[in-house]
Amino acid sequence: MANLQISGVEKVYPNGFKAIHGIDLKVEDGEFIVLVGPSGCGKSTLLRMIAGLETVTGGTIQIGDRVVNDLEPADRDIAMVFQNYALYPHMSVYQNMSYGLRNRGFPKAAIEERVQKAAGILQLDGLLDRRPRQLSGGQRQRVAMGRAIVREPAAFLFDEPLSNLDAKLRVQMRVEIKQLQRRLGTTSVYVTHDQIEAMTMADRLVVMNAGVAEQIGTPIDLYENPSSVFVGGFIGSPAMNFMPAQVEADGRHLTLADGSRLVLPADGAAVEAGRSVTIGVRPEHLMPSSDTDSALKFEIVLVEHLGADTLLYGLASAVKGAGEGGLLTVRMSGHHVMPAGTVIPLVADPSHLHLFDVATGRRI
Amino acid sequence: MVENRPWLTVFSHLVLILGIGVVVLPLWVTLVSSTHAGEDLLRSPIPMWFGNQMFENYSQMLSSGMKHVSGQPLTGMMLNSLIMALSIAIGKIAISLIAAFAICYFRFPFRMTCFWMIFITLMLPVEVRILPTYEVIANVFTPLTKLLALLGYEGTDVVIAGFSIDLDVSMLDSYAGLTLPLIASATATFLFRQFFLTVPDELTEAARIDGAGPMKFFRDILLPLSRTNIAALFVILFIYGWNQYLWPLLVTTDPSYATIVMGIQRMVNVADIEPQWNLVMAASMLAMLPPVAIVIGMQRLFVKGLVETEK
Repeated sequence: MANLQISGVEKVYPNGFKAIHGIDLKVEDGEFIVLVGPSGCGKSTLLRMIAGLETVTGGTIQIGDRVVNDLEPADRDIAMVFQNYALYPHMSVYQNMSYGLRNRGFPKAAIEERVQKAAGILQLDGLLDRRPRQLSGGQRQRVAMGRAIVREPAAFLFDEPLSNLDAKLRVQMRVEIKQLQRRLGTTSVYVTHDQIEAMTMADRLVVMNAGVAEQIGTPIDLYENPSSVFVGGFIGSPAMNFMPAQVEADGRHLTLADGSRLVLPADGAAVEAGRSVTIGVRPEHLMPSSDTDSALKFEIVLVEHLGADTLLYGLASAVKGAGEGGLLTVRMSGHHVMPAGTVIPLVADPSHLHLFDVATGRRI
Repeated sequence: MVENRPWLTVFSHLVLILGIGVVVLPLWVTLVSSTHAGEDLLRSPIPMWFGNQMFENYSQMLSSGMKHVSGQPLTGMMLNSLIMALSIAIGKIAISLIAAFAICYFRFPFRMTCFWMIFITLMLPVEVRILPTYEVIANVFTPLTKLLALLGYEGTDVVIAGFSIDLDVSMLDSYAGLTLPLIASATATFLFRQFFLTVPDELTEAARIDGAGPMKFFRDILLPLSRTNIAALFVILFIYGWNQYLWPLLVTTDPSYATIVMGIQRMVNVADIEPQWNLVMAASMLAMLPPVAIVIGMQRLFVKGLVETEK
């Protein structure tokens, strides 16, 4: 058990490409951190640098009280779970799980005890003599987990471990991994591109974009207070709606591109009058309004019935400006029947309006 | 193609039977001839059914050999062939495995140059480079003395710190001379390289995290994974080594290093008398046995090694 401290870590590849632009992150003992971002954002590179599979070209990585920059992966006291499990195909489950311990010269009895214990936790008891190819995807995933936990490392590193599983199994394994991590209390870093996985598993999330940590915080914090357009658009499904707007002279209202008006949050920071902003509003914070004059016009194109919710996809000229309409998403709880082509007036919940700078995309 | 036309069935069977006939007929003649007395084979037509001299022919070849050729039993030659074939097969596999491992898993300067140099030698089989190779085997230090000659030093011995070193070590008439030049193998190196490239990187990384160093990784992970490839190569290389003819003929003059393939050639190439075909055929049958045994014994692994795609 240990904390993990990443200070100013950079990665420059020999060809000059800079994949990581200085990341600072302190992971507390027992915390579950999820690195999330689109492909190519550097999240896997960062994880592999923590594991020691990539060299660190700047900054330090500290596990416990040791700086591990120049240590071999085996000496860093970490265990890693790979996307394709990376089980040794010619070894039995038992051999797979015990290989790392055998290499470290553990006595036979201790290996036996640890493997049996891990097998018990992961419900692999009857499968210890099988080969990986005789196992299902979920079982292989558990063996990969088992190989990590028998080592009793200071930290677990997960590299998109669930992306090879089907949707149902993914949800199940997601819960299992989270429970296991709680039970063992081991510091964990988990990489995924799936924002649902990220939201549900993380104690804290690191949203990465182009080699930079855009925002670090609890899932709910990130959901409710995204620090930039990128985070707002990445976290949450369906994605947040963005519209251009202008602050009115009174500083209390916004004018949208189609001429409709929205009320600014009363407790929000003062915004200078006349400033152009990007507003972000989540689909569940848009609702039909009876006031047809100032509300923004929304023409339904497609309705999705999810059971508990109804998703309305439609065009609103407020999104792109006069003439052409941009796509807007509205989530309504309950079941609603609305034919395509219906035009409904919408208002946004003022307390859930997010204002971003047009140029930088940063939160105002 | 699923078609049900009677004449097509008949036709395809005819073609198959013809093909089998072409392959099997020489073998059949060999087998039948080895069971007759020598005179029977000189008469026309040659017999197509077994004679009654089988035991005599085979026991003569295994115990005393042909008197007017070398007077040696075949067992010695068979043993030589076995030693040669096994050394070549095992040596080639060992060297290519290590070479491919170095090329695939280590970063060192001129790595790709090394690979391409090995690859280019694919185009130079033994027959092409046989003269220079012979000269090196005749004296292992030939390249060095040639180099010294270029630098103006003539002679076959150098004096270093008062010791005179004779630069003349010959490998003619030795097992080393028979096998060493045939052991270096670009084909096998290339094959293992291609196989190693299909081993997922994550496996290597997992082994690194599990604390396996390079040699441990090689022994515990790569070798077991290459098992079927090794078996398939072993079969091919054993037969290659067993069938070597030109090279052993060149580098051995001492009959105690003769291989079975050379032996058969000598039995046929006799002066002044008719070759004893019945004995030659018995020798041929005996010479065929070990490769057949290897193929039959390892065919399951052999086929698996050639067709297996799932790793």
